[in-house]
Amino acid sequence: MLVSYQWLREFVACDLPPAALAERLTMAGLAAAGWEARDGDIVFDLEITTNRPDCLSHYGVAREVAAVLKLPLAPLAASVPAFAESAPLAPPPRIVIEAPQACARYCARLIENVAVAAAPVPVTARLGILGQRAINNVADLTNYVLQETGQPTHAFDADRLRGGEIRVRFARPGETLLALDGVVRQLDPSDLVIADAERPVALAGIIGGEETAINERTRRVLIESAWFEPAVVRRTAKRHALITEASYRFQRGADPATAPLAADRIAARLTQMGARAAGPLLDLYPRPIVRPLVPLEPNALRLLGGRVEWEEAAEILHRLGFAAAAGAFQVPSWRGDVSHAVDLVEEVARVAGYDRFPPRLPAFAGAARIGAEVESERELRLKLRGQGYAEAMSLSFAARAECRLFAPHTPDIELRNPISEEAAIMRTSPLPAMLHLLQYNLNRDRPDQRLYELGKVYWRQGEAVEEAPVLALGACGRAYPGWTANAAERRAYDFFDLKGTVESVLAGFAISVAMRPLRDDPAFHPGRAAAAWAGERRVARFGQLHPDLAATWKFKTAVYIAEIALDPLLRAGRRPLHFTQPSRFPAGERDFSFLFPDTVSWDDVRLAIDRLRLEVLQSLVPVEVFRGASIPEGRYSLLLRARFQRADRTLHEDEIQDQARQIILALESLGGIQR
Amino acid sequence: MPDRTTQSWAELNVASPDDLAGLFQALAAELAADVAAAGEEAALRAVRDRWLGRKSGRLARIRDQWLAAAPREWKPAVGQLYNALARQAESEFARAQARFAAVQAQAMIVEDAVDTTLPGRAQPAGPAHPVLRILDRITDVFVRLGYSVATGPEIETAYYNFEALNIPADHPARDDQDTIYLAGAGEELLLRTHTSPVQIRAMQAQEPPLRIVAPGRVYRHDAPDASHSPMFHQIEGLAVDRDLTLGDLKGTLDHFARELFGAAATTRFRPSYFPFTEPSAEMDVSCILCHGAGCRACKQTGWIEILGCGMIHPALYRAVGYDAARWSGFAFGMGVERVAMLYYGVDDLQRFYSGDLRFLEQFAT
Ligand SMILES: [Zn+2]
Repeated sequence: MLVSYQWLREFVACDLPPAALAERLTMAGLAAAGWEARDGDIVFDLEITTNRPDCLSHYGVAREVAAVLKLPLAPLAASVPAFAESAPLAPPPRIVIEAPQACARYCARLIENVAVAAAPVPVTARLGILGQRAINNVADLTNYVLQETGQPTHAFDADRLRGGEIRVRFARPGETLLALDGVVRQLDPSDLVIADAERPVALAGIIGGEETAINERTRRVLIESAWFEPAVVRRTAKRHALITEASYRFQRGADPATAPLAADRIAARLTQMGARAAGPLLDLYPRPIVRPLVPLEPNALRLLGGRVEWEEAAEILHRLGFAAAAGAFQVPSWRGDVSHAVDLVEEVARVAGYDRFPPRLPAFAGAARIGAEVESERELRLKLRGQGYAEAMSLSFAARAECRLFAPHTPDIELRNPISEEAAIMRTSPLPAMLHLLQYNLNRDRPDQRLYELGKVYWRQGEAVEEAPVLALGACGRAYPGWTANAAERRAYDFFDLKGTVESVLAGFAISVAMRPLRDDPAFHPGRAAAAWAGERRVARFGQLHPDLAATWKFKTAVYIAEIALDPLLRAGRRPLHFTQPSRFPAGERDFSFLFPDTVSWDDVRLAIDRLRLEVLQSLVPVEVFRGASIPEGRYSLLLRARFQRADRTLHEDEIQDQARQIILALESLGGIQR
Repeated sequence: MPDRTTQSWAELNVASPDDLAGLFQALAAELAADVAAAGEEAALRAVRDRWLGRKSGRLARIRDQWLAAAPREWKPAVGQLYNALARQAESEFARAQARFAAVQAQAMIVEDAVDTTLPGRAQPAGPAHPVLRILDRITDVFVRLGYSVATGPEIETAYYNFEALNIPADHPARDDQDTIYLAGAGEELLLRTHTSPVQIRAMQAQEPPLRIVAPGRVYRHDAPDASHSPMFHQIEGLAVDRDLTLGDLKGTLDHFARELFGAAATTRFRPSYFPFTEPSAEMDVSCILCHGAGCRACKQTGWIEILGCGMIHPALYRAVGYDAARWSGFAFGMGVERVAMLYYGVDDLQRFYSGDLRFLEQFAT
């Protein structure tokens, strides 16, 4: 809202320097975004909150200034000379309000003998300072009075209204309106229109029609000044995507008392230019807007911490136009936003000034809980960052086609008004977004990447919608950054790097999972993917992106991704930590070198040894897995390391020998050949 | 010079103690010269073998041939001289050996030397996302003040997102936060436009006194650009207790501002409007770039708008079944990305969602 200081001073004798006035207004709730000198005047740019349509005018701002600075406010009146010389050229139209629930008041003034020409310089100059283009005297005056009083009005060419009638009604199916912006609007039966006897001539409170607009041949003008129901104007303005000065004010709530005044002020100005009023103001007010009498108990001021006494509060409210009446205050016509005691308290607080309330840190008798899930998530994030993964973030929306690649059977949630086609649904998998992030960096010459995102996935479960936290990992390039002494050490990030991270994530929670190969997921390389299962529930899938998909996505490098459902993990809680006494006795180690056929997996080896239930076997780990060179085709060499230890005594050499023998037998029974 | 140690006692022709001493002196000189002549470790080993070899070393021969064969009256003197020579040999060889070891160690050190000016190697810890880093910091400030962390669904009903927050249908405030709706029949669902629904749910679940903060993703129907995103993060807070006043709200948020922006930060509260609070305020913090002097970031005002807040509107108490006469409270909320942009001097909101490592890695710690 742009406000001219000179115009403001017509109503209130404020002599503060502009910076000081801007500060006072800001601290009273009319935030001044700035001010500047323009053509010998000062123009303030005020941000008016949606609850204060009464401040969308110079008079409204003047009212605030007067209340805040304790200055007198000049009254706003109009005197329209009665037209007595001869009878009107034609009778004024008959006005019918068919929808009083949508139009509470309709005022009109018929003006004759209008000469459409340029508006007088004082009018155009003021509008010019506010950045408004001059059109003609009639249009400029309606605009002028809008800026002055906040009341939107509309001027019809009375001779182009058909049938001598103005009807305020809802549109009929199939009706259209060629609006002043040149667009033909298809009207909906919930659109309130101003119609003549035959057709809509304006969208009520929003925009006029081209066919009844003022032009240079116009002689008779019907000035409309009405009060329309905010919700009705809001719906129609939204449907037609039309925000006008008028709709902006009506949908926030105009002042029903200003409607006749605005019509009169236009009429008065026009008569000064040689036009004449054809009869009195027409004023239909079928549904009076009654502002409430709001009771206010002194106790309500406790929100202000006893810093404002009742007398001062009453005085502030009086200055703002609230009339005191036995423990209650009558809300003035322009303050449709006030209806409760707390509204009055706010008025008192903001005019008294928020600086009146000294800051204080309140005591609290309760206790704070961060919550196990929030703690788990933080720990998880720390763990991933410790493993070199950068924390990334992507939008929760996705393209359906991309999600289908990763979650082909998940019913997705479609958005009614998405931002774009690429954001048409809520994502059912975080992996497409992760691939986009990896790609973004690859396109910027960042081959080595480790990324994670902690977000959510969303899906439909029958009628219901569901959302659940999910962790996505993405990596490519080298396993370790930095330079190396020889090229052989420049190992690429591989499946086992990813698996290691997935395992360490899962190990943080009190949940036991089984890992199984994942061969039938079209998103993953069938030979380089696995899934983690907690009973029947798959909690993770991870591996190399399927080469076919990688080709479609134009990845020239192997890309590793993981998706981990966090819900079951967070529900299980963190793995409890518990101390076990380390053995005081030395451990013995044995290495085993075997040749195995490719059909024997590590899991086979592990299970075969598990079945031996060797009590003193502390651990059994693969040290080296090797194929090629001297190893025959279809076989691989496996170097295993077993560690034996007892908690109660030192193991004898022959005990270890015996254990080792059992291990060798078990491995041989798998088809292994000791080397 | 012939090797006299190969000679027998008789061949030595020792006639006087001086003869004997001369004989050993000559041997000692020969030993010293031998050791000194050994230029490398292998040579020293050969010299050592020649002198200290167990069977045929010179000292072994002196012991076996001279000492053993010497007449009784010569034995003590021969023994003494023999021992002295043996000690000398041990120490000479030890010294020479140490000398060689030192040289070798020195050679190793030279050989092992690396170019210490090459960059170090590490698996660097991944950086925390700047938005989540700020979100955590804000959360923690309030947790220290007794606020519990509450979360809630991102897909919400219009009731929780609007109606319960005193924003009925057709309320002008709904224009300000254009909403993204879910398609489909049935109850109208939307993506929450703020985390305030969490506050309603928390109040429904719990009686006062209560303090919560609700961080999370929120959604608005805004096309992405440098200062807009259809998804961003908010953190909102709520305190309900007996007799909380506007001063308590100011004190709490002023403390927060100084915790986040430093002890020198100052705040100002100016009236504003939110449907769910009354009186409402915007909190400005003294500009962290110019410290109030005026700059581009603060549009020359010296202040930067950080959050919206206010005393909880009684309509909310009605919605959750609190007795408005008994309780009072305040609420506040802020956009986390906005704070992060100010805090880290980030120019474009979209950087947060790009996954750009050149950006993210600047937030490594
Ligand atoms: Zn600044």
